[in-house]
Amino acid sequence: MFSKNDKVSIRQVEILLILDLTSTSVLSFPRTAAEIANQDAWIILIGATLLAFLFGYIITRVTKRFPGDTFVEISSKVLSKPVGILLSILFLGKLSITMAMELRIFGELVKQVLLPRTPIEVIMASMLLICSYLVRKGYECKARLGEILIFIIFIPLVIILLFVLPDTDFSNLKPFLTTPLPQLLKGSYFLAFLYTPMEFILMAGPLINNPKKAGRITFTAIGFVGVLNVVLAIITIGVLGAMGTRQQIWPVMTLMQIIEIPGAFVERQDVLMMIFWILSVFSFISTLMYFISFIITRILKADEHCFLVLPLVPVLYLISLIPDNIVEAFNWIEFLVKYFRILFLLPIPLLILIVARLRKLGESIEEK
Amino acid sequence: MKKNKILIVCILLSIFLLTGCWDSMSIDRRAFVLGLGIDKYIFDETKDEPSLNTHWTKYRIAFSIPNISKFAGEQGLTDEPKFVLVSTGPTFSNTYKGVGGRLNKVPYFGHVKSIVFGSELLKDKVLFKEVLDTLQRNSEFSRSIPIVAIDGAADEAIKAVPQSNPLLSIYINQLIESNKSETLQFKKKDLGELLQNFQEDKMTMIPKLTVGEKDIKIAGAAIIKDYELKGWLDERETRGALWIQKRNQRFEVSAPYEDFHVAYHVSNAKSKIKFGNKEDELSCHIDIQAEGNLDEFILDKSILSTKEIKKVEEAIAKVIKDEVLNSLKILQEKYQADVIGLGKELERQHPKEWLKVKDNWEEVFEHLPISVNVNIFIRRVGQSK
Repeated sequence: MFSKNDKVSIRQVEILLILDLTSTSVLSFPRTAAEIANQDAWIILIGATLLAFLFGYIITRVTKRFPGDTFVEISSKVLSKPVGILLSILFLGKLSITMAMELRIFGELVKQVLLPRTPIEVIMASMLLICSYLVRKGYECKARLGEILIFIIFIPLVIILLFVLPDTDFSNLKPFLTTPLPQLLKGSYFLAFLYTPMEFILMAGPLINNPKKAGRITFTAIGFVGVLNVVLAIITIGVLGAMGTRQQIWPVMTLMQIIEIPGAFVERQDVLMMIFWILSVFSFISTLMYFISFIITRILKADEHCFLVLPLVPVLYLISLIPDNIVEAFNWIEFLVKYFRILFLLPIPLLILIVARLRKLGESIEEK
Repeated sequence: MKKNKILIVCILLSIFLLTGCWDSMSIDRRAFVLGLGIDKYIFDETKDEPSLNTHWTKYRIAFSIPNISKFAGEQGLTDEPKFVLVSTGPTFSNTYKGVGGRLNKVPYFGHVKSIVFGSELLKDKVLFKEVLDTLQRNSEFSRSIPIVAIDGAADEAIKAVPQSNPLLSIYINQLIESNKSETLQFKKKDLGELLQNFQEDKMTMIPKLTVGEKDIKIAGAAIIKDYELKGWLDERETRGALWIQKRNQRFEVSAPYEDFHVAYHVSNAKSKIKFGNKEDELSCHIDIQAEGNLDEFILDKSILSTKEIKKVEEAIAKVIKDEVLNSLKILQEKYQADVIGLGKELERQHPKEWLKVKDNWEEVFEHLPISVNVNIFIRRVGQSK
């Protein structure tokens, strides 16, 4: 496995996906959920997770049908070449903007909480450079790093959450189900954006050494992250109350400020949360960067992605500096979420699947 | 060989280039602010500089900074245990940033142990809102800082020196922590909870601090409604209100019985709030249950009979009931402030009913018929019969 540098095992993809899924908005999603449904936020998170299982199922069906192909080739084969290229470029643009905004928010948060006097440009540039270093080494390298990171991130996170439990007032979750059902459904659909990184699986086909088992990936990763999200939402609302959760830009960070770890000398536990968050954001940004360079490689039919990484750095950096402030950056993300979120999760994979079946392309359903 | 040289250059470069960053700061350059006393600025002709008499000075904030070298046992230049700086300014942040111009170190607020609000500040809705916003927005202030209110000037309180620990802010913090489940004189209120109270209920109680000659006391509460001080509850009134709110407490109750007073130690108390709705009129029923030991009884009188115990239990229950009813009356009639969270309880139990009364809850609360039932169980009676 070590010699060929671009094949990863199913377990590794699972780990990478878990890391990517948690990083996007783990610090802020309870706010979004509480804005929609107040104390019923955790219910819409369950709904969102169920919806994500559907996305995952369809996306993995596509990958399984065309093992060894990425989204670029699949869409060209199935939907004709120009359409395929167009969709790939759209996909590329979406990933680039997502990445730039993620980077920007990372910079803003680090500047606000940890390094108030360091220029944000330096924070962002160092993050970008270290990501590009990792990306140049290939997907397998990323996967191995992920295997280390997942323990560093999740074990302390779970332990810290245990310390929050005594402060949790579960009566804050009452009354149950006062939100009308349409609102709950709408909220679930909206919050499914938490699981957008699922779309990476569309690209990861040729990178997995056993694509036949891809179905397992989505099941484990979404299941794990789904449970984590629901628990986090319950705890956040239990501690801060529905109104308090809505008030905070980063409620999960605030949560960390409240807890007291017995016997610990650390006064500001929110910094601990920052560490885990930075690690998972690092993983997420580098994944995005990898796939951005990977799509370009596939569109250009180039052999290697290495030489593309460094030229990407200034482009992404500039995009990330376009918004004037954090509010604008959030607006950009909202825009992306509104118009592009669902596109690569459900309609396009479904379209590909249906057309492929009609045109009898790919490995037809072999399970029988 | 060439490769090695490049490697060495890289290592050397990183040593020179990567030392520190913009935010590096050694610990002795920082002044750790331990306590804050925030108050409204009121011009005093006899003492203050005339230049301060403008509308630009709105705050008067006292910062308490410990003399670290004294606590480390080093020979410092001064013997004072703490320094108190009082600063004025147009906004809360401006005031505390302004301290930088008078301090040889950089003020740091990550270790604030308690915050004292002066009564003038609490009476001013606009200023109080400004303060709360800063405390919420700035990530240096932890949300677990205990908050107390003082009926007087906050900077006077910060200057006070309690005998057993000259650092008042730490003293307050410790006092609250060690008594928080042992007393009914006050209820701990931290910053996060305070903000949450305002967002959800629009009103809250803040424990009241009283500063004496050589010690301090926390007892009673300030009633704050819609970011404005409405009045104060004394010790007994606070007790009555807290019987409804607090759970799993340990504390003492004394009650007159025959010619004597008996003392009762509560080891576990709980309250249940129920709502009734007869003929479209909302009513509330509070059920308080407590169990504990009889600590003091009458010398030479036997308590070992069920009848006697029943009688004592009733006497104690009556005292508690009176206390609770008295507090409810004050809250309902004098302040119309539902600081005990009845509205929230109604929302949780009967969300539909709550929607009906939500908009004029204050009026509904004022006229809400509340009945109280107290059940006392004496479980142990001590060593003599």
